[in-house]
Amino acid sequence: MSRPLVLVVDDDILLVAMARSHLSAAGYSVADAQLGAEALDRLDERTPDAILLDIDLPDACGIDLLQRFKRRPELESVPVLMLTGKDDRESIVRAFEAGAIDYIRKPYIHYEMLARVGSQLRIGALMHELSERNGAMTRELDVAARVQRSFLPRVAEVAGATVAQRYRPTTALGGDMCGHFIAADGRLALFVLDIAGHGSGAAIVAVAASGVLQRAINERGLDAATLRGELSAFVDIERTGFYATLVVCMLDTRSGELQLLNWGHPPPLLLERGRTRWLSASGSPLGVGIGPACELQTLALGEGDRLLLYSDGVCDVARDGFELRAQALELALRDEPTPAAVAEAALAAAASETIEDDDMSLLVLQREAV
Amino acid sequence: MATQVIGIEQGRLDTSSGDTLERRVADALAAGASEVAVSCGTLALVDSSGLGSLVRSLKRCRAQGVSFKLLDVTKPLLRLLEMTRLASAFEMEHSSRSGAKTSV
Repeated sequence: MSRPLVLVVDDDILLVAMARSHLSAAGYSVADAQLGAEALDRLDERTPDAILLDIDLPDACGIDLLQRFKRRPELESVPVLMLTGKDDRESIVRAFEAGAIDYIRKPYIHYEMLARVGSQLRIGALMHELSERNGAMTRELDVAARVQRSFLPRVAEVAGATVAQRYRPTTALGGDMCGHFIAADGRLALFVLDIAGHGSGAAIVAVAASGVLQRAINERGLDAATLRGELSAFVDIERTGFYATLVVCMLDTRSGELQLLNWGHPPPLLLERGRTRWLSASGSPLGVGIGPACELQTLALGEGDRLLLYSDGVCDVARDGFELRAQALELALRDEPTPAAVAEAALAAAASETIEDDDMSLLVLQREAV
Repeated sequence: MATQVIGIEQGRLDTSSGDTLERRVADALAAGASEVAVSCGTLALVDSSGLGSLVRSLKRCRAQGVSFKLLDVTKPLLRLLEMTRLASAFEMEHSSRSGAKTSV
């Protein structure tokens, strides 16, 4: 690694010479300037790792100069230590406000100056390392989030139905998974799965569990015992620490028959011949080991009827203002012209209630003429 | 040994207050409580982690033959318990009863 560069800006030639000698002996490269204008030239030549700046230069006020430094993006994180006289108390406060990180009173004691410069450079190096690591972690999370999104099944077009699907995790990775696909028996399947908790642990479980769920639906349709059994590998509040709510339904687009299973998930909203109705869950969440078992519900969707599936981030019953949000969903499902417009209106209503700390998944299904 | 009443006082039951709750329940069980009650009167917000903590606490008490109840259940909590079909699994009661009290 090259020697860290310290820029010393002071009109006192003797002080600059002393500082140069002490800093060089301690292993630093040194650049110097006697005037403000000269300091700016030095900065154009090479960005220093730290700056010692006289608070009172012949051609400039040190604090004004400091403000100019701090406006340059490359200098934003470079520590500036002010060189001050005895009576500069007020200026010192102003210098800190302007972005100085420390000050050294003149005449300075050389080992104190070296200690202060050294400690600021160490802090700077740590900050740099932290920001590098943070950047790497963010990039990895973004990749993981893209992978997770790629596992959300959706189909471009379905004969006899229109589906709008939206997915907004709070963090890059979410505990929600949702999707729709044409199952092996030809029916249109839709699901919203919510693994309790956020972040990478819940996201990994959600991706794996939704894969197993889709396979099980393809093989056995909506068989509650099969689905519960398959998912028990992932969700068990005592063994794995996770539990899940799940709503899953299958629509026969020709007959309009809709089958639905709901394990403790927020109630889907049905629009039936222009009237809305909430469909309560029949079973307790998967993996909690208490509460009632899930039972299959069967409904008939007519042409133009709609069904809204969503996660609790969209309409959380356990928060104040629930009634208003529920009403907004009813209005959206009844009045918006298309499933996509319903989805946007529902998400906008949720966002306006500032529910920002929960994942949001949403599916709007509309039965069309075949 | 008497009833241990555990209070949740920040108005929310989430990951961190849920962890504290579970620790308090474990302490109460270790101390030989014959009944554990959670005072829920100020709960305005319960998230999925918080609900998980209530379920785990209930199951731990049951496993040791200790009764577990929720006191003064608020509307948001009741709606969540009903929506998730867990309301029937929990014993609920209004307070105005005594017992050793600790707070989360």
